[in-house]
Amino acid sequence: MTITCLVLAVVMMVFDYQGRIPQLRATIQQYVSVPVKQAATWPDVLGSHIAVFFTSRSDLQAENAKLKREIVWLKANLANQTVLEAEYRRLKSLFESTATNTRPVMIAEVLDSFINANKHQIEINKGQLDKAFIGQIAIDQNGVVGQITSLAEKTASISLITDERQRIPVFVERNRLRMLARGSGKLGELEMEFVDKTADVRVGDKVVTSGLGDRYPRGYGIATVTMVEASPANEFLQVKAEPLAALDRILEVLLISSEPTTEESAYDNDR
Amino acid sequence: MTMTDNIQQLLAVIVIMVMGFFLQELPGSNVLQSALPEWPFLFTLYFSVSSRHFFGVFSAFLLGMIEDVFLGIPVLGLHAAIYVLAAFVMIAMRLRFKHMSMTGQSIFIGMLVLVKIVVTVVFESIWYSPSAHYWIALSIPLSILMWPMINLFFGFFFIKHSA
Repeated sequence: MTITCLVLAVVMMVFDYQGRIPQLRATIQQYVSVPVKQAATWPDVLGSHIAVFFTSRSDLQAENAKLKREIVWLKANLANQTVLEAEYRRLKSLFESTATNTRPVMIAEVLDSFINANKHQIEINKGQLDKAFIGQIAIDQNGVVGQITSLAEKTASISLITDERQRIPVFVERNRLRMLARGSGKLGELEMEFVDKTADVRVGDKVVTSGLGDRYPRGYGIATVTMVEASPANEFLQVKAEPLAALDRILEVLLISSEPTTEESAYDNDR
Repeated sequence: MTMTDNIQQLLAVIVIMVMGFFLQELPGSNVLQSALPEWPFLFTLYFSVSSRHFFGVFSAFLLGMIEDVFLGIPVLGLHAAIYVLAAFVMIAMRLRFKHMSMTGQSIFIGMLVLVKIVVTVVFESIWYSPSAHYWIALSIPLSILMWPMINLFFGFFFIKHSA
């Protein structure tokens, strides 16, 4: 029996490597792994509920005051936004753009994370049944989180932008200098490849997706440049950046639909 | 042992194994997860000795396969093979193991956990590149410390159910 089981394990490893038994992994994930992982998040949720319940009066007052300040600030920004929107509409009409919809998004909860030097992945609770697909882009409120690289019926794995195997075509927002962002294998760091020594890149520059390659849609925030170094030993500039998305703290992500948007078309035309 | 006792004990084993996976998943951080005791592995070793009539190598194989999915191992079967071998060793050595002192048992379990970790790390190193953190080694002393408690708790639990 032991030998049979060992042979079965080896056969299974070979078959899984060849991708012949994806259904087996998906079934275990669906009926065992996902329920247990979801249950394992309950104590955390309960803890946060209890913390909210016992929040002191002074804390609430402080939070209330802070929120009021934020409202004022947001209203001020909104006023500015209205002016910008009007300007945008005027420009768009000039370029004969027809619609104003943004990409539809779907919220997914993070079930588990697999972060080590080899792999930066998170598992979410949306899968094929929710019309998620391989290559679908995930963002949080700050920027791009990554893309779906494996899919099951009810779950999916997202490779984070910091995963060593990830490459993202980007440009500097300030001057639209094109670069290629590469995952460094460290959660808080991206590296920019093939940046010419004469390139105008500065610390603090915001880097956004360029849309080249048709995988990542254009205009989503990726990172902020934190280091620019020229070395005689290197042909290119050494540029490092910090991801905008809170990759180590995300509990929810937004999955972006694949349908092209007219906003991006307008952005293209604007270029 | 009556049929009802058998069913009760089987159900208890299933619930406890689910609890093992639950305890493993409880800490959110991967580093913390790897540093804590190897609960499903420890429970598998315990049941291989105490309940071998309905918890044999095939049960260990199934649990190993589930563990592969839980840990996101790139190919299914690694933990299945490790669990099968560990269960086989425990079943083969059960009489000698039962006569060991608690300290001896704990050290033996620690050695099995060490072998499991080494095999997993070597496999991962071959598969992609070496593992990043060394916290995983902490799970060996923690597993050694937990073994007497597992014995105490399950001993009490199972005596109550089989009485």
